[in-house]
Amino acid sequence: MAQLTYREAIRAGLEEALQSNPETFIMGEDVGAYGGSYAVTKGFMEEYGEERIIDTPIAESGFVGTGIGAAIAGMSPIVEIMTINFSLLAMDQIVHIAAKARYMSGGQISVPIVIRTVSGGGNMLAATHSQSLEAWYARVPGLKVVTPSNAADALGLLRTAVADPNPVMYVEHSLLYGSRSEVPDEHYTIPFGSARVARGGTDVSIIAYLRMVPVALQAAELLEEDGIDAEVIDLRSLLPLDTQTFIDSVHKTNRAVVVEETWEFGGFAGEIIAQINEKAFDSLDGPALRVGGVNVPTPYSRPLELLTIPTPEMVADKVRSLF
Amino acid sequence: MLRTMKLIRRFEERSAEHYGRGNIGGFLHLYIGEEAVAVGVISPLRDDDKIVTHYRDHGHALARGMDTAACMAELFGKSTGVSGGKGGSMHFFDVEKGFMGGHAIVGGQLPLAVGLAFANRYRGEDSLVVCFLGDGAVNEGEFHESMNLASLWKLPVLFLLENNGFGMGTRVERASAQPIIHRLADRHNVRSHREENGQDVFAVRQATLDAIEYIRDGNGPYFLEVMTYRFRGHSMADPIEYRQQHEVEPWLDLDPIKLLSDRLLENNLTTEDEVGAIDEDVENEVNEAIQFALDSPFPTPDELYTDIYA
Amino acid sequence: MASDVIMPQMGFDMTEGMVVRWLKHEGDAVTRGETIAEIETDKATVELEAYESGVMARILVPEGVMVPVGETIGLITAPGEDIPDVAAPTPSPRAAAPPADSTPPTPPAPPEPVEAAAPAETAREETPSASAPVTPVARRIAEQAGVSVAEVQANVTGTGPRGRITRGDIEVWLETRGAAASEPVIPQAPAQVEPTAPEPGDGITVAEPPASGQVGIVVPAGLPPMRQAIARRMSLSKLTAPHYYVTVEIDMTRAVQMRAEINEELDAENRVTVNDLVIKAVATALRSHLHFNVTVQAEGIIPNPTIDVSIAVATDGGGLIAPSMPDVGDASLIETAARSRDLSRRAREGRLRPNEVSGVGFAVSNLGMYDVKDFVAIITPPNAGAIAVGSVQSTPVARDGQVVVAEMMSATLSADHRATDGAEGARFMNEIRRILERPSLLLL
Repeated sequence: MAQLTYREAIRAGLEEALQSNPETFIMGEDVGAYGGSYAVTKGFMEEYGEERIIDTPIAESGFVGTGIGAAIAGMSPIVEIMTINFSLLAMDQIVHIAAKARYMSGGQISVPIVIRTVSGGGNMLAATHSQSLEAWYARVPGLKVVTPSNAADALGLLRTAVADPNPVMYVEHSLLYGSRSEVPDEHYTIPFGSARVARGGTDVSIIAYLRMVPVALQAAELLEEDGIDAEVIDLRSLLPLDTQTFIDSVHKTNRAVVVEETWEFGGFAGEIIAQINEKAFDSLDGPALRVGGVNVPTPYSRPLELLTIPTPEMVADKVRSLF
Repeated sequence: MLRTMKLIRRFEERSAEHYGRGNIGGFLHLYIGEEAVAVGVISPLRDDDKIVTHYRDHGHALARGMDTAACMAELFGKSTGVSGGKGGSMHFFDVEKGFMGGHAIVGGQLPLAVGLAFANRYRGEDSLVVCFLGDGAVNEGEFHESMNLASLWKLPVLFLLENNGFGMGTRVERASAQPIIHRLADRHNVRSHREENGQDVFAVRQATLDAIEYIRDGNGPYFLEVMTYRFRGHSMADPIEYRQQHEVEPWLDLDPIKLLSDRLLENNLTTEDEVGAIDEDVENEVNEAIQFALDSPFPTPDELYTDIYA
Repeated sequence: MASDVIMPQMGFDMTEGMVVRWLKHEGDAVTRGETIAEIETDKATVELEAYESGVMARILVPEGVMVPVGETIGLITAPGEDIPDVAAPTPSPRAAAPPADSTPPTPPAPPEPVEAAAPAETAREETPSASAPVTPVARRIAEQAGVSVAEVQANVTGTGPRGRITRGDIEVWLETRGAAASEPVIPQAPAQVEPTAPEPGDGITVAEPPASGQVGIVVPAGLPPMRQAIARRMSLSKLTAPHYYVTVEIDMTRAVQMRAEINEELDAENRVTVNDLVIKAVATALRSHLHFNVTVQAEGIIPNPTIDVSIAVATDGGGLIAPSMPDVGDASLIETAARSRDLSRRAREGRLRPNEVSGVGFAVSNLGMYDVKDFVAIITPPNAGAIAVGSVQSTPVARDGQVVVAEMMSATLSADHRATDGAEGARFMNEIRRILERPSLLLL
């Protein structure tokens, strides 16, 4: 077992992909000479050459579409969109071409592209650079959306993403790059649609993904002091979604709180709660609740921004309201 | 003009300092080295002209005469800031001054400029819109869509390209198949010019006056490319590993502020004493701005919910 | 000039109250400041003063009827003044208004944004429902136990948010109910009766078990929720758990001295109380007397997996709750003291954790602070017993033919005869006495 950062784990996964498949290339804004906006691909251009580590113009629709085209041609591109906010400029290509080409061609085409991008706020980057939009993509049939919360999952899920013959949105979080965790030395993969019980517990199920997983774990520690034994479920992928793990958990704990960073209104937590209602209603000992981002554009000012993103205290308070 | 350029310079140097002190957060993109462009372009504008710009917007704001203290307070995230502390460095706004915002998604401000100009023409006004953009933005689809629309409808837009040679860390030559960017304007039948002396504020001003005359005569949009140089990194987080010191140095000799003050002194248009007085004056103004920003309150939690809808 | 007597607001969250007793009757003279009635809220009984002098002209609400805060409940007039015609208020529906929502205070509430709750929903929440809500899992458990939701609502007080009847509520109720009722549905029941081989001379006639699980408990109408719960549980206990009692006198001289020495080393807020010594002694004694560390249920005598002690706490409003201190068998005296202090505080504040509310654990009830010599406790089902301790009193006792003054304390065991017998009770109490009289054992 090695201790790796989230960034190192993703780097390791990318290097494996580059080394194992000569038709894998990395493409995106400032991934080469600059080394990647979050330094994930630092040094890659020197190692693998400009042919395979490709700096693009600032033209998201163009280069993401190019990646999709190369994938349809049978290559295995990994395209980086600097932040998920900029993916909106490429949304047409992702939603209309990548997600639908196979279906509309009657199965003749597949689109084995991995689109890496970075989500989340908390960096004082204001309203246009702080959004969590992964749940938008998780509504599009034909796409897969994965959301690793730690280094081990990041590597295991990236391996699966690279091997998957479908378009995968691989969503990272800017505040997780420095987080460190144990990564097994032996080769392993993590299938999509397999949630993880990040912490066992008996009194309430806290369901989270991406950076809200560490937040939920901290909330669970706070709740320990109240004698509340919280179970934390890390969804790991939003599409496909593993419903069984959290439904089983709710059967056991009888209570559920879903946490996500994006705006609470119309968010992915609503989907989780709907699933709980449909599949575990008779196990509920109170309403399934959610904690999401405040429904406002993210403000720049630090004290205001801090109010908009769920904290362990907010999650713990919400859980306490069930007791 | 010398004073404004010095004000921009000092404002930004002190901003960098306070970024280091943790009083400013997020992205801070400095304009140092490019001051002649903002001042040369904005000084000949009329009050009823409008400006839209990108995220490297402090220089444009100060050149437009926006309140120094309110600009600094915005960087500090205070409620007295130009955008109430909600926008930060990349999103300065001052509608009264016709400053229609810094915009942080590359290329996003271009269609907005076209729309503002559309309104001017529709209402029969002869004011114009200056749209600053960087060399990185011309590769976005929005650039071409906007140029085409503005040209098609003969709208009064001055597309002002600040070519500092890099889109973040990527050289123009590695991003644009046509590195002589203003030639792209030909494809859309837009009159264009490249001003090579972008560090010379008089040259920039003269090129702008020519463009303004053309636009006010009702000829439609104009595309002015100004060659300049970003002395600092793309943002405070940029290690600038993609360019070499030997290529930076010749540009440092072309410091637009030094060029201007030397020229004024040589031609006896000013004295060392007067320059010293300007320095002192600017120093005081920026000190006061910082004090104002420090003393100002943060927005209250209630302000989270204000300004979402009209 | 007539003056209204209204149901007073005695706290920010009080929504209704009840006159327990009118101290003045119609026609009585009333002086300003004089107590005219006793009012009970869900938290406390308080005295109601007259704001004006005059005559108690009308009493509009009889004793024992719950009315909303602000309602006129009586009328005081000047002597000889005509009595205005005032209608009596409508009693508030049972289960009253839900408690104030306790959403976390973090970001301020948005000023009714577009997506705010639909008006219909808001209205529904504010209207008191006729019956307490039962959570889905609680409904399911009730149905599995063959109990209707209506029966649950009629008998169980919800402790969940907004007065919801939760899984924990229903499980406690089913347990006590199971212990109380000789449920005919349980197949072992007839076998336990052993009708074929009665002991010679036993002479006991086994009655037919009642057809219904319900026993004839009377829970007086109009009681606030906590008193309802107490009424139900205590009645059940006295009706169904055969109590026997054992009293011992314990010489606390050394224990009190040791406590004083320990407390000299501790901050004021961390001090050990006499009750903590008793709790620790009971927990220690239970380790070697496991047959008292059980619950008595219809399914059988079930050992508790850990040494649990529950403590009776008088709440500020005159109610009583007996929260559990689970797994205190190995806690040190200091830890025990800290836990008991924390538990009492949270019990009074209504902030108990789910595993504490159950009240499982051998009970310690202490009225020492009221300077009582001894008293007898009622067992809280399904526990096997309770100990009632009085105050430590300087008492002349005979020692080696001399009369000396010792610090004596009386402790009385109430135990469920279905689980243990008197001799076992005596041995258990002697063990507790031995530990308290050799207090270094408390430190082991």
